[in-house]
Amino acid sequence: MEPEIRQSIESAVEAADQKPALARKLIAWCESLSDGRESLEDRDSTLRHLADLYETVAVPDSEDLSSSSDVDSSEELDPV
Amino acid sequence: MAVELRIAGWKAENLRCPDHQVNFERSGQGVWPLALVQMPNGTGKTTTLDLLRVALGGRLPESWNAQRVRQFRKKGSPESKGVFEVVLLQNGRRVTLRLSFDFDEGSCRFTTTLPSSGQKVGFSPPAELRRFLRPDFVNLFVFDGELAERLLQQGHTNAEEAIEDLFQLKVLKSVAARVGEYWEQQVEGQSATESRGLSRRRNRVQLLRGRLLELRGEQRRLSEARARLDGELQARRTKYEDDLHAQDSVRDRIFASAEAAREAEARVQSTAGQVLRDMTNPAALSWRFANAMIELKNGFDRVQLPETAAREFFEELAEEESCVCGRPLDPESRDALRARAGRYLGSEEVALLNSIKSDVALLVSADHHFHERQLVDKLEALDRLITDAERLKTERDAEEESAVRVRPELQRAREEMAGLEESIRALDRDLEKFDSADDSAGDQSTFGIKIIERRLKDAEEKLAQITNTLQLRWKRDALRTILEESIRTARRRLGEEICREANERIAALMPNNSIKIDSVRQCLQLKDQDGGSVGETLSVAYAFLSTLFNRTEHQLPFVVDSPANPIDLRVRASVAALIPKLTRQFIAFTISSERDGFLDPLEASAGAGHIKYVTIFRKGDRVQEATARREPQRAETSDGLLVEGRDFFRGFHLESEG
Repeated sequence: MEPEIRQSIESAVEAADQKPALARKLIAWCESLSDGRESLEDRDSTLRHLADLYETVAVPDSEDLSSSSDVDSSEELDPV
Repeated sequence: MAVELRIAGWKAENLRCPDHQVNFERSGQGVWPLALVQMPNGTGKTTTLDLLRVALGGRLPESWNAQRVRQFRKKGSPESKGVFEVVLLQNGRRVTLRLSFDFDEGSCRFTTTLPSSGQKVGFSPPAELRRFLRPDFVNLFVFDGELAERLLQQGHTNAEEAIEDLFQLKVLKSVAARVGEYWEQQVEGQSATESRGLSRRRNRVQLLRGRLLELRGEQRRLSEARARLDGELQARRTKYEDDLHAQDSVRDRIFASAEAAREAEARVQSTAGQVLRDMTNPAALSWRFANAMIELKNGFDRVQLPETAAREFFEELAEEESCVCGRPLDPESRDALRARAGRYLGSEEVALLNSIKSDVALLVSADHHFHERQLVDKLEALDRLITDAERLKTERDAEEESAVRVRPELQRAREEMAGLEESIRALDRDLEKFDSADDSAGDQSTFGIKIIERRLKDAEEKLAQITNTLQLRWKRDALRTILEESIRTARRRLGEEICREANERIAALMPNNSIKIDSVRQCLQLKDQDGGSVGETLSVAYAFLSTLFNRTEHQLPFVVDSPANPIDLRVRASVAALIPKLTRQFIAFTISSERDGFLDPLEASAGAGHIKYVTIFRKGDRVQEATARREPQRAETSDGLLVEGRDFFRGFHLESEG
C-alpha cells in the first residue's frame, strides 16, 4: 500500500479522535485485501475484522449519542 | 502480492485481419521490453486493437450484435469459426484468453485457460488480475489518441478512476460499504434505531426509577407507622389486662369464663373437622348418591370384569405364529387381531374399575340412609356446640364488661385501643395498594411495587438495547467518516504527487511548452488552458500514465496505437526517448510513415538490441511478398505475411501509405 494511503488513514483516524490502534488495524486489513491475502468474499474473516474495528472505535458518553441529527424511526410506543 | 502482467503474444485466425501469430517472448528473458508491430493501413490494425481490448476486458461490447460479430469474418472465407487468442504471463504464469467466433450464429464467447484449472468456458482470469482486466481499465494500457483525449475531457472520470484502481483506493470504498452492512446486520430486528427513541426510553427509565423510589419510600413510611402503632397497641393491651386483672376476684372470674369459652371453641373446631371429613363421602350428602354408587358396583359385578387383561392377550396373540386354535396366522389375521384388540379392556383399565368396586363396597353401607343420618346428627351437634361456645364467650365478655364499667380508666384504655386498632386497619388498607397486581393504569397511577419493578426492568432492557444500537451506529459513522476522509486525502495526495512527477516528464518531453497538469479532478485538468493540440494531449497522457504505472508495485504492459503519428516531429524524439522508461513492456502499432524522427531516437534510447520488430501485411503487393519471402524469420498464412527483423521493418513501404 502506498505511503500516501497509509498516512491518509492515520491522519483521518487522528482527526476523528480515535486511537492509533484503529489506524493500524485498518491499514493491516486493507493491505491484506490489496495484495490478495484476504478477500471481502470470505464472510468469516470479513465479519471478524469488522467486529474488531467496531470494538476498537471509542464511543462518547451515552448522553452524547442522542446528539445525532437523524430523524426518528417508526418505533412502537412503549406500553403505559 | 505485486502483479507483473505481460503480453506473451496473440493470434488471429479466420478474422478480418490477415491470419497471424505474434510472439513477444524472448528466450529465457521474459518478454521484449519494446515491440514495434508495423501494420500498414488496411491490414486490420484497428480490428486487432479492438479484439485485444475486448479479450483483455472480459466483456463483449453491447454493440456486438450478431451482425457486428459477422463483420469480423474474413472477406470471402467459407470458414464459419474464427479465433482471437491472447496469451498473458502473470508473474511468469501463463493465462490464455480466447474469443471464439461463430459466424453462422453471429455469436462470440470467451474461454479462459489457466495451468492450474485447465480450460474454462467464460472469462475467469485469476482473482489478482480482475481489477486490471476490466474494459475501463484495459483502455488505460491498450491506448490510442482517442483515449488520450478522454483523460483530459470533462465528464470522463478515467484519470481519477485509474488512480483509484491502481492504488487500491477502491478497497477502502469496499470496506466502507461493509462497515455499513455490518451495522445493518447487527441491528436487524431492533425496534428503535434513532436518537429520539433513546431520549424517550431514557426518560421512561428515569420516571420509573423515581416512581419506584417514591412508592418504596411511602411503603416504608406507612409500614414504620403501622409497626409503631402496633407496638403502642400491644403495650396498651398489656397494661389494660394487667389493670383488669389487678383484683383477684375479678381475675378469677374472668379466667374461669375465658377457660370455659376456650374449651367450647376447641370442641367446635374438633367437631367441625369431623363433619368436613364425613362430607367427603358422597353417600353422606344424600342417600340418593349411596343408591347410585351401589348400583354402579352391582353393574360392574354383573359384567364380570376379567381377572387378566384381554386386550394384551389379543395383541400378544397377533405376534404368534399360530392361533390358540392351532390355525396358522397370516398377515391379514394379525392385522384383524390388532384392530379388534382395541375393543377389549386393558390391564390398567381393569385395575381402576376393580378399585372403584372395592371402594364402593367399603364406603357405602348396606343401609343406604345410614351415612346421611350420621352426618345430619353431627351437624346438629355442631350447631349446639357453636351456640354453647358463643354463650360462654358472651359470659366471659360480660365479666370483663362489668369490671370495666366500674373503672373509668379501663374504659378510656379500651377506647384508646379501639382508636389504635382503627388506625392500624387504615394503614393496612393503605399498604395493600403496594401489593396490587393491577397493570392497567399508567405509571403515575400504578401503586403495585412488583408491577413498577417489572416495568422498570423492561424499560431498562429497551434502553440498553437502543444504547447498544446507537453506540454501534456512532461507530459505523465514525468508521465511514475515517474511510471517506482517508480516500479523499489519499486521492488528493496521490493526485498532487502524480501531477508533480508527470509535469516533470512533460517538461522533459516539451521543454519549450508551458503545458502542465494542474490537478486530477475526475479528468486531468490542465493549468490555465482547456486542452492542447493532439501532440500535446498525447504527450500529457503518456506522462500521466507512465508516472502512474511507475509509481505502483504492479507492472502492466502498455499497448499504444501510433505512438508518434500525431506528434510534431520536434516532439517525436522526446517521446521516443521517454517510451523505454514508460513500462517494462511497450508494444506499439505503427505505420511506416511514423518511423521518421521516431525510430532513431527510440533505438538510441532503448538500444536496438532491446526492440523486437514485427511487420504484418496483407498479401497483394508482389514485390513486398517476394522481399518478405527472402527473410529468414517469417510466417506466411493464406492471406498475410509476418516478418520479424529490423532491416525489413525499416525498409518496409507500401504504395498505399506513401
